[in-house]
Amino acid sequence: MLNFKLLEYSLSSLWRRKEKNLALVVVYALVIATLGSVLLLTHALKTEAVMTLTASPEIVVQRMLGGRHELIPIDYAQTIAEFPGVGKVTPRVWGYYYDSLVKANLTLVGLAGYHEQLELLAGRFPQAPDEGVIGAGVADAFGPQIGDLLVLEDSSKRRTEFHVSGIFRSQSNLLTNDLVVLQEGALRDFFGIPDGFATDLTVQVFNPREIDTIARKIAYFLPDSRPITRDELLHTYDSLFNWRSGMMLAVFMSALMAFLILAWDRATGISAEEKREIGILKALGWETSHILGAKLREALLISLTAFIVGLLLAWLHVFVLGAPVLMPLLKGWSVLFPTFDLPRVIDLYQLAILGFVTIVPYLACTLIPAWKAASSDPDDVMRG
Amino acid sequence: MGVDINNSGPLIRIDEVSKIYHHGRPDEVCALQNISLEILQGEVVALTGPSGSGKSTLLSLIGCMSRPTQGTIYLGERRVSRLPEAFLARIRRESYGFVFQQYHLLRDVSVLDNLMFPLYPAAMPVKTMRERALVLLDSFSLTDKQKTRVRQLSGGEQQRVALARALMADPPIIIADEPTAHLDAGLTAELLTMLTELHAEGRTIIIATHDPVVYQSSLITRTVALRHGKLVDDEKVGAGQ
Repeated sequence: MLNFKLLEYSLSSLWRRKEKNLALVVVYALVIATLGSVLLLTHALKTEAVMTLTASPEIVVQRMLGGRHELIPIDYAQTIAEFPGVGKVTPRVWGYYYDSLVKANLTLVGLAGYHEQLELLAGRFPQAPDEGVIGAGVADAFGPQIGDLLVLEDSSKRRTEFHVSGIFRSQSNLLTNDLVVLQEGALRDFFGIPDGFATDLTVQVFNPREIDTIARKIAYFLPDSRPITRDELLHTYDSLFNWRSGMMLAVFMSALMAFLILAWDRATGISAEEKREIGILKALGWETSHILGAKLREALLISLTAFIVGLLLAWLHVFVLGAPVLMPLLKGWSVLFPTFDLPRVIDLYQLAILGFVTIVPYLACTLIPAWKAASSDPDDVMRG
Repeated sequence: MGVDINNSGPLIRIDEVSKIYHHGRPDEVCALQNISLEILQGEVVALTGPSGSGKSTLLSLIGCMSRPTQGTIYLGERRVSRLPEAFLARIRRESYGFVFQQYHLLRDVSVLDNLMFPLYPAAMPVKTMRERALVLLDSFSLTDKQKTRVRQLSGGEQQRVALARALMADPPIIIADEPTAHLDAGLTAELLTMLTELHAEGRTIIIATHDPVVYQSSLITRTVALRHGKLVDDEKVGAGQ
């Protein structure tokens, strides 16, 4: 009964100052929407990365020479394949290509080892040295469709023409967006990679618990190699997105701080009218706990409304609109941003943190001044 | 928690009470000194004296709005001068009806809600509260103003709302601080008539006033005069003699 009556009083109090409270909810919701967008987007990108890497090989082996990545002899594959627990070892031939016209990096890969994981949206995989399959981002940036020509400059600065034989569709566009897949021989010619060498090797391991052991064995028996496990890649993605989102959160936290300062100012500058009202209620028999109960309900109504509205805005921004404001900052440097649908996943722990850093300080900003006013002697009211 | 009005002793007993504001600080002010007073049930007491004499302070102590620096105050058999704030709030809610000098109504709230909000912490159901408020508004000819915001009322109407609010909990004691300070002669007469009716119902009324129209009226049964925080005169008058 008392709870209901205090809630009714709180609603009445909020309604009486509706313009001020509405403005507060709008600003508050925008702050939460901004912070929430960063958290939702980061979590979605991390989830996307995990989904993508699920299909990636357990270990990738590179060769390091003079402190840098070098081509790896294909006969290393034979050595690795003989380790117990190792399934298939596949040499991969690939490289980055920078196109100055569209100012974009493309990833050119040889056909072997890729087509097993990837689906085509249309067309077929290359069957001749002058054919290639392209990712959706490449198609968007360069404009070719199936049957059209894609012109690239090779390692000798010669113009090389490829007919587009297919366009990729993948469960995750993150994998294929900037991809151009050619026949292996064509790619070797294009990048000048000699026979008997590959860019790296992929290693299939049957038992996930043996991955680290096998990686250590590879490093031991092939000292110039650098095995990279899938977990290490995931960890790198995790750190990358954490770092980027951390930078953004640091920036947006300043917006939160500004809001909290405003809220504190508003609350500590509790209006004379509100103070008078608290004094009257005290004089007429309200206890300090009743005043605080009513003010707590007011603050909760405002902060929870702003939190829910802010989260809905963040959800719309990230999952419906595709986070147009934040995506370039979080996804990285590329011109060919993948245009995949973000997985609609929410980390409840992150939501709890967001709620904690936005709602609790606001409650404190509201309740402390109200408590100070409510603790004053009702005698002050008597004296006008 | 409310006062037991059937006890045989005085309704309110004030025993050697002093009130010092900012006690122990350089700017301390002694508002009341060693006041002793007993108020019986059914009395209409006028606390008189010039500004700064301590009327409002004494009223505030009687009304449990502050605690004395020294001395003891009893309400019925209960010693209230050292009770915790939560108990004092309940006593204010259940035993006293307050009429303040400046009415102290919630200006942006409807007349009906002004009567009901102060009683929200009470155990009274909202429906009962509403019914009681409507009866009071009817008796004060304010039924047609129940949804009007207080800021839109005239001074006289606000005074009647304040009095109606004071009666919401049906308190045995009415405390009024300079209730005619902002009223013209006509409204003052109207207020005195209403207070007379409340007295006739058996309520005890304590009024702090320096308005002769009030303390010389037939309503008053006793005048208590204060000067510089000291009780200088205590006289039964009219029906109180």
